[in-house]
Amino acid sequence: MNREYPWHIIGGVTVDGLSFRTWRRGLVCTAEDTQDAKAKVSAVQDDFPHVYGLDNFRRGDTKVRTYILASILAHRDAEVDSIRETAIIDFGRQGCHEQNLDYFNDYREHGRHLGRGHLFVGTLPTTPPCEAAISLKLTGPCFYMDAFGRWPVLWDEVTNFFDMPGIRRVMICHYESDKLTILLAEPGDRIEIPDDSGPEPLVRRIFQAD
Amino acid sequence: MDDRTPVIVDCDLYTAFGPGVEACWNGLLQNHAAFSDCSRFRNEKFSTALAAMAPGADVNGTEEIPGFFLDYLSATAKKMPHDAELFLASTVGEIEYIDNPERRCTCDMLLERALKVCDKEHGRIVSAACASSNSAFVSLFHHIRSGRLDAAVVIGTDYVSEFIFSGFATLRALARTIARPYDRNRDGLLLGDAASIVNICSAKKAAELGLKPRAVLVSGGMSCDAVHITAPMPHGEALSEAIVHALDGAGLSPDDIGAVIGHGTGTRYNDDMELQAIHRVFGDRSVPMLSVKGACGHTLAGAGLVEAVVGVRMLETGLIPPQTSLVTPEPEAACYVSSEIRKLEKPRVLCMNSGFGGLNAVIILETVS
Repeated sequence: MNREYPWHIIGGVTVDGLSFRTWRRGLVCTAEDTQDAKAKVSAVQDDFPHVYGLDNFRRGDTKVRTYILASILAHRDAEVDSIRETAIIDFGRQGCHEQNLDYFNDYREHGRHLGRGHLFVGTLPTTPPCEAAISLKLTGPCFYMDAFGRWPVLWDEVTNFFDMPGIRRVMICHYESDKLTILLAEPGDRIEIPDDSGPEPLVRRIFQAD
Repeated sequence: MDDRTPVIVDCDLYTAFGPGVEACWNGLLQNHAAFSDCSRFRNEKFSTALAAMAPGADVNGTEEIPGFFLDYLSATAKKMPHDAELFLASTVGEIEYIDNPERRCTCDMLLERALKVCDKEHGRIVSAACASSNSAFVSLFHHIRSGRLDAAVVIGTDYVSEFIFSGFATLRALARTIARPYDRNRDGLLLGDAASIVNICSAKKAAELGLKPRAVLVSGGMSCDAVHITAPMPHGEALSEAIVHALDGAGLSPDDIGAVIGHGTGTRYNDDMELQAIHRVFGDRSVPMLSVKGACGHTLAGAGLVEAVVGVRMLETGLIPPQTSLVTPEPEAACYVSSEIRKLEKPRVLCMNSGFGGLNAVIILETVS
């Protein structure tokens, strides 16, 4: 079954490991590590007007860094500057088990007294999208949602954000098995989405059909 | 009130004051703090052993607390139809299982369990750190107003585990003395257990189900500081924006608000930020303000739900509980907080939460007219 939603996708990126692919402009790059990825994304940014805050890039783990870089590339793909009035939804099933283990093992190794604070903060599933929000100065609502893979819940939530006063753009994140897809949506026009379609099949269909 | 007005039709709580809304409400009115030494794990290396633990919740072991809470809340959840959407507000759900991987219980497993015991078909986890509950409320408010959903059960549970306790100790956020929100001599937060539930639906659905509205969810607003992953925005600009979104969304002015239930963790940074945000919006108006965290601790993802339930009781009774453990108010808080019970002069309560990541979420509750 297809449903129609009152917004459209303006650009997006998929990151598989350290390979980035933007969907609208078709930019592809592969990095050796996250620092190399940062350098390559920064190079792509040279002709782009916005300067993103990457000062704290190194404080995050690989997942956080991937979210930050992919958020920048998604804006680059859509050829838009970031705007404060952007909401973020991180939708998926991944939770934060890996980050929980990182923190708790660190805490155990320190004699069950003190672990490292940044690892504890990393146990929140909202930390990666919030770090992206900090880098891009996105001040709209932001939360993580797991609805057991019911994709219409995600698309309804995007519509819901646009019902909120002042929200002009939504950043849609989906992370699964080391693969991150980030899309940017804006209100206006309409989009038809099959009930079984997640973000990557959707963006692939939109821009490969162009 | 029109057909799509979101109304709260039922609620319940299990806190350190014990089971039931009245246990918590009476504890607040009596200015009691429900903290005691936590013996769930070795605590001698931490700056405090105090926490607000729900009596009886860990009789079958700490690992069974989430299940115990869900079983308790299920009676209220079952008052809503099978197709009501279940919103589970949570930070993480596997916190006490890491030493025993074979007993791992992730947040989605917790939702599966909640769906089963609450007899609901579908559900979703909403996670926004300590603003999870209010974020779920704001999302739900817009879903009901637009007609996308007409009935939901919102559940929030978190509890004092070694994982969480050590994490806040690592961040040096735990109080060395007692949690004293908005007090000049406050020195940190204390954690607490809580399980809370709010049944909410459109006014039309409530009438169809024969459920009497207890309060109206009139608006909500959210924002992100986008400044720092742990430290709040120094002057509270983003929180004040969320408050303004909530007020504007309901066509209200600050003069229409009878009381504010703040996040009020008792840490210096959080309370300072909140007071600045309140001052930015309310100016010199002395809107009554309180934090329940001085009484039943910081209940993390469940905090917003506890505060919403307390807000419902404030609207129903016309009373504002005193600020627990307040001795010397922070000068900026002196016109807002009190150690005495006060009357609620206007029929609206604004509840706000802020969490790591700079997440802010605000809701406004109103008396049923």
